[in-house]
Amino acid sequence: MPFDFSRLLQSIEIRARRVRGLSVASAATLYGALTSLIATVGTRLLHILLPSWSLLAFAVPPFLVGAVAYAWGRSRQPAFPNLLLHVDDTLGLDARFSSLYELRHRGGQSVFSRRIEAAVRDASDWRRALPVGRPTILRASASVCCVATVIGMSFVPLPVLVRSKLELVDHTVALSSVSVSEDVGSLAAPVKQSTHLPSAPIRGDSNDAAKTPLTGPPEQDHTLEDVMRDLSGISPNEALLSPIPRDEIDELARREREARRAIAELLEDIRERLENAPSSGSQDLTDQERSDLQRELGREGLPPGMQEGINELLNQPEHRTAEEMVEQLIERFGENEESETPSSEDPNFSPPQSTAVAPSAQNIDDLLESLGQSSLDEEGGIDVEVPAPPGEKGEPSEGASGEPSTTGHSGEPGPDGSEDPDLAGGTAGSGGLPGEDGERTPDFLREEERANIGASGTFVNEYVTEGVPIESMPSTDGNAPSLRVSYERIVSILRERGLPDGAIEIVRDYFNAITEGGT
Amino acid sequence: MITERDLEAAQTVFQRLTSSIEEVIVGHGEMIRAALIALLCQGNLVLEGVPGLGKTLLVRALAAALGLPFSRIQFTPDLMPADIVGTDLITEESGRRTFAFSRGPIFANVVLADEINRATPKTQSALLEAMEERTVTVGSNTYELEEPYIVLATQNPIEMEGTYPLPEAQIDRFLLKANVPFPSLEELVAITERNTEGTGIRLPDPAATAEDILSARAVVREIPIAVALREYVARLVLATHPDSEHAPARVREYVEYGASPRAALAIIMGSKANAFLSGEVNVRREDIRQLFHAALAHRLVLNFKGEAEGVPVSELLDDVWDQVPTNS
Repeated sequence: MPFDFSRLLQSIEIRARRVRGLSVASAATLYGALTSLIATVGTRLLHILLPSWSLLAFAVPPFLVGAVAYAWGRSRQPAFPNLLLHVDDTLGLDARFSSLYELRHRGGQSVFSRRIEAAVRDASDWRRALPVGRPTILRASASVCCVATVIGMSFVPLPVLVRSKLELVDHTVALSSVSVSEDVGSLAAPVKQSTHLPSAPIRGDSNDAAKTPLTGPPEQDHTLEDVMRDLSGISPNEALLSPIPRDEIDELARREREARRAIAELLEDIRERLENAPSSGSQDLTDQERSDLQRELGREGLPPGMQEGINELLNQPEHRTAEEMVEQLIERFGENEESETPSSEDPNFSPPQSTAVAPSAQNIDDLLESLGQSSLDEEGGIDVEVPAPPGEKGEPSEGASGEPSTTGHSGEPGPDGSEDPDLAGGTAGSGGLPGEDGERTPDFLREEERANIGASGTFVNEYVTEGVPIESMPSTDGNAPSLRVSYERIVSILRERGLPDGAIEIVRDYFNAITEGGT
Repeated sequence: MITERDLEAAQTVFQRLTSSIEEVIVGHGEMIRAALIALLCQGNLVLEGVPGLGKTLLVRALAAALGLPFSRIQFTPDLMPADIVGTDLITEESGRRTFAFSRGPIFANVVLADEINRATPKTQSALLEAMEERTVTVGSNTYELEEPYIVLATQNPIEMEGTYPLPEAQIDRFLLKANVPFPSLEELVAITERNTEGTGIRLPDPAATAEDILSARAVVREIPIAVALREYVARLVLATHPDSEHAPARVREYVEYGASPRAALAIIMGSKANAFLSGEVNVRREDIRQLFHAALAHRLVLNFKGEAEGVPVSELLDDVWDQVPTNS
C-alpha cells in the first residue's frame, strides 16, 4: 500500500484542530463556569433578588462559551512545521515528518523523500503525539464541577429573608404567566364572601404558596417574622442563623398562652384560698400550692417577668405576705393582658365582634424600619390582618352587610373536632379572630377601627395585614371615616426593597381587588 | 537532481575516506568528522589544541586521503602576506624582463595554516579572500583557487606570548572550530604503538577524488531540513546575543557580541553534512546539537567581565542550548 503523506497530513490536521478546539473550549468553559459560580455565590451572599430558574440559567453560558471557543479553536489553521516537529519529537522520528513536509513543499519526488517515507511508513501511532492534554481534561473537569455547584446552589435552601424574596418573585412570575384578571378575580371572590375580613388572607399559611398566590412584600413577611420572634423571645440574629418555621412560632405562642392561663387560674385559686382562710390561719402557701407553682414554672412559654414573680412568691420574703404578693402578681398579670385587650371605650365597640389589636408605637416603628419606610407616620395605622384558617380559628361570619353583628359564627371546631377556646371565633361572628379572650396572637395586632367599606358605607371592623399602610379618609356625610390602603406608600416601600415593577403591579392589582376601591 | 546512486556513491566515498584517515589518526573521531564536514560544506576549520596532539598529522592524512595538492604554511611573526599568496617576480626571457606571478602556498586544495595565531594580523588577513571567496588577488590580478579547497588552521592555546589572536573577521570565516582533546589511555597506547614500531606512520592512499568531493557537496546541499528546525537554529543564534530577548542571563552578563548570521549558515550546513556522514537523509535535532558548540564557540566575544572571570564559552552555549525551546 503506497504511503499517502497528504492523507496523513490531513488526518494530523483534523486531529490537531480538534485537540486545539478542546483545549480552548475547556479553558473558556472554565472561565465561564468560574464566572457563573462567582455570580451565583454573589447573588446568594448579596441577597440579590433573583428567581431560582435564573440561577439555573447561570449554568448554561459556560457551555455556550465553550462551544464558541471550540468552534474558534477548530477553525484555526495549525502551524504545520511546528506541529509536525512536535509529532516527530514525541514519536522519536528525528524530524522526518517535518523534513518530508519540507520536501513536499519543494515539489516533486526525490531520493530523500522516498527514503524518509520508507522510514515513517510504519509510524501509524501518530495520534499518540496529539492527545487530549491533561490540562484540558483538568479544566473540563473543573468546569463541570463549577457548573454542578452552580446548579446545586439553585436548590440550596436560603435563609428566610432571601427565600421569601425569591418566593415572591417566583409567584410574580407565575402570576405573570396567567391572566392577571383571573387571579384578581379568584382573590376577590373570598373577599366578597367575607363580611368581616374585607382584606382577604394576605398571609395565611406561608407554606402554602398555592393558596396564597401573593405572599405580600418580602419585608412584610420579614416583619411578621420579627413579631413572631419578639413574642417568642428569639433575637433576630438567632432567627437569621436558624430560621424559625411558622408552625414552630405558632406553637410557641400557643404554649405561652396556655402557660399564662394556667398560672392565672392557679393564682386566682391561691388568692381565693387566702381570702377565705380564717385570719388566724396560715397566710403562707401550702405545699400543694408551692408544688403547683413549681410545676407551672417549668412549663414552657411562661414569660420571664412572670417567672421572676412566681420565683419571688415561692421564696416569700418575711416582710411580705403571700396574699399581698399573689395580689400583686395577679395585678401585674392583668396589666399584661390589659395591654392586649381591646379597648371598650368606643361606644360602637362590640366586644364579641370588635377584636382588633392596636399596634404599639414601638411596634409600628419597628415594622416601618424593617420595611425601609421609616418616614411612614403612625397615622397609617399599620395593622395586622387576622388570618382565619378554617377549622382553627373559625370561618368569618356571614355578616356581609357589615353591620356589627353580634351573632356571628362561633368558632368552628378544628379538623379534629376540638375547639380551641383561645382561637375560636366565639360569638362575635369574627370567625376565629384572635384575642377574643383578651389575648394577642403572635401573628397579628388588633385594632378596632371604624370604617366604611366601599361605597355602601357599611361599617366594618378592620383587620389589616400588618405592615400594610392604610389611610383614614374622613367622611363627608358624617358617617364613619373610611379606610383606604395607601397604595402610594406600598409602591414606595416595595421599590425601596428592590421589588421588580411587575411584582409591584401584582401587588397593586391584589389590593385593588380586595378593597374594590374601598377599605 | 540527486539520484539514489549519487547518494549512495557519495556516502560510500566518505565512509571510505573516514576509514582511511582513522587508520592514521588514533581517536579524535570528532576532529576527523569536523574536518570532513568543513570539506563538505565548502568551509574552513580551525583546530585548537596543545602541541603534539596530531593536528598537523590529521591535515596531512586528510590531504593524502583526498589525493589533492596539499601545502603547509608555518605561521611566524615575520611571515609576510606575499609569502602566502605569492608575488610577482622579475623574469628574464629572450633578453626581455617581465613580471611573472609566482604562486604561494595558498594555491593548493588543502592548506594547513599551522599555528595561525603566531603571524601578524596583516599576514593572517592574507587568507581572508582565499577562505571566503576562493580567490587570491595580487596586484591587479585575481586568481581563482581550485575546488575542493579547504584551509585547516591550528592554534596553540598555550604559549600565548607573542601571538596574535585572530581578528573577529578572520575567525568568523572558519566554519567550525574543533578543540582537540588529549587522547585517552587506550588511544595513547595505540598512538605509541603505531609510531614506534614497524615503518612508523604511513599516510593513507587516496580514497577519493576532487570530483567525488564536489558530488558529495551537491548531495549535502539537497539534504532537507525542516522549517521548524531552521527557525530553531535562528533562535539559537539569536540567543547568543546579549541584547536578545531569548538570551539567557549569563549570556547577557558575559557576552559582548553574539554569533553572526554566518554561524546560522554554519550550523545548518554542518548539520546537513553531519546527517550525510551519519547515513541519514534529513537533518535531525541531534545533528544540530553536535554542531552547535563547534559552530558557535569561536564566534562569541566575551566582554571584559567574562574575560576577567574566565567564563568558559562552552558553558554559555550550554545555557543557550538548554533554554531555547525546540518548537516555538
